[in-house]
Amino acid sequence: MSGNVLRAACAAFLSGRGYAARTDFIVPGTDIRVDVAAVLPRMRDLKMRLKRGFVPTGILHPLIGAGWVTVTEIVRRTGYPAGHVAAVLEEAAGERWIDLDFQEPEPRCRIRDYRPPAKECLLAFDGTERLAEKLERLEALAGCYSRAQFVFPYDLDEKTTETLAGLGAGIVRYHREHGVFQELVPAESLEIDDPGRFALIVEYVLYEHIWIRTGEVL
Amino acid sequence: MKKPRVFSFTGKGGSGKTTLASLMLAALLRRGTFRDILVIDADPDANLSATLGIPVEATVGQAVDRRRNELKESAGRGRKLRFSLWDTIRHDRSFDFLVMGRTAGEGCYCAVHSALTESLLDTMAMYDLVLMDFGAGLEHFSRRAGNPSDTLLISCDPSRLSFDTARRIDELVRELSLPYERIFLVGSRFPREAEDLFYQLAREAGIESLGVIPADGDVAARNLAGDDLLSLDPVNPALRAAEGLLERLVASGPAS
Repeated sequence: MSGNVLRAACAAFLSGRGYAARTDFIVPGTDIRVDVAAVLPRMRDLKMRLKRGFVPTGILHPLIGAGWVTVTEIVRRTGYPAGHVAAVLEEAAGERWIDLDFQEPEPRCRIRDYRPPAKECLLAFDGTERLAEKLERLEALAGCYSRAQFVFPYDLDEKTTETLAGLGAGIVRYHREHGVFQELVPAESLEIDDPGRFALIVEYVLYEHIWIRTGEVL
Repeated sequence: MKKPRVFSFTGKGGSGKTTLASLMLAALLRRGTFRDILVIDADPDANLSATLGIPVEATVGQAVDRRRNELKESAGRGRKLRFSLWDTIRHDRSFDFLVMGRTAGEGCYCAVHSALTESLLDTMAMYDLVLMDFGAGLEHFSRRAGNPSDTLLISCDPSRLSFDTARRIDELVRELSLPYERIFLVGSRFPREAEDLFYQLAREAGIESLGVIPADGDVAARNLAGDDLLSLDPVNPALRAAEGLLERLVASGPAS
């Protein structure tokens, strides 16, 4: 079975359980690729975004959980041109996502009452290819996801099972012929230590997902 | 998967299920364990709003009627049911509130109801806890409305008929293999001297008892006046009893 099929089946499975899922997700601002990123939205925050627009977290994520941050620091952390950053900040201030303070010697801003629009971010990986590399990717994303799981369309050997379980990752056996995802080892529930990057992931995934929903007939 | 906890309330008409749901919500808000709470009034004769002190501005039934008419008249244009459902959710300071209401039109609603069920399940998944107040009777169980649910609380007032209804609900849930993980009987408005009788009747009914909400003058007066139950005095005996029930429910519950 190809990795494409496995990823698509996994995303469909999670979508059917209320998650907003995205296959082959590149974490913004990095070159880290996640096979399936799935987020479980929170109603109030999702509705707020439908009214006011989504938070431009590509620029604002350094502000999350950080208090006042100078514009220079945002430009440095995001890597975007200063003009673009200034334009986005001005718009975000207009939409009441941030407070802007034009103090000397340089302007600064802070995010207002920000709450990520998701209660969970689950990262799933196809375990059949380049497993070691995917474990490294997962390590690089530590603190910005709630659970991680590896999906295999076959039974795992004991050593790999122990390695993955030891890292707190879940192990899911996909039975292709039955369309069943069987949770063999439940994923450990982790604390979010990097709220900025967590927000970045969930805002991006939800933003893309919600516009698909608007295409429903009923 | 991180499933929301779902506590559903049912029982014979007038057995105190809406009061029980309101007291449990008051206890939950004081406890603060759950961050995002959705309260659903699934009783066609919606009156949970009164005990919560929230005026009803829109119901799901109205949204369903509107969408069905739009589909008939304008080839699908108009607000989608999912978004209408979301708009119907009222945001209180500490919880969200959804009134199901009922549809008013005649004819086939199957397609719209099917879409509604799916949207409702997706919507419930967005919360940490869902409280669902069902209407009296057994019909909603036959329709398999409101599933999945982890805990079903059957309210019983001090009457033999109330226990008979509880027994029938329990039998129906088992016959239909409805996916409740736990079913509890709760005594409502029992005088202290009759509490032993409640536990005895619960044993005879073969349903595990969670505890008793005592008869309380303040609760009765508020219900009579149409005042809310969320602003009860923290030392109110009925509220304290609800806190005790909640303690048992949360401590013994399935992992979320």
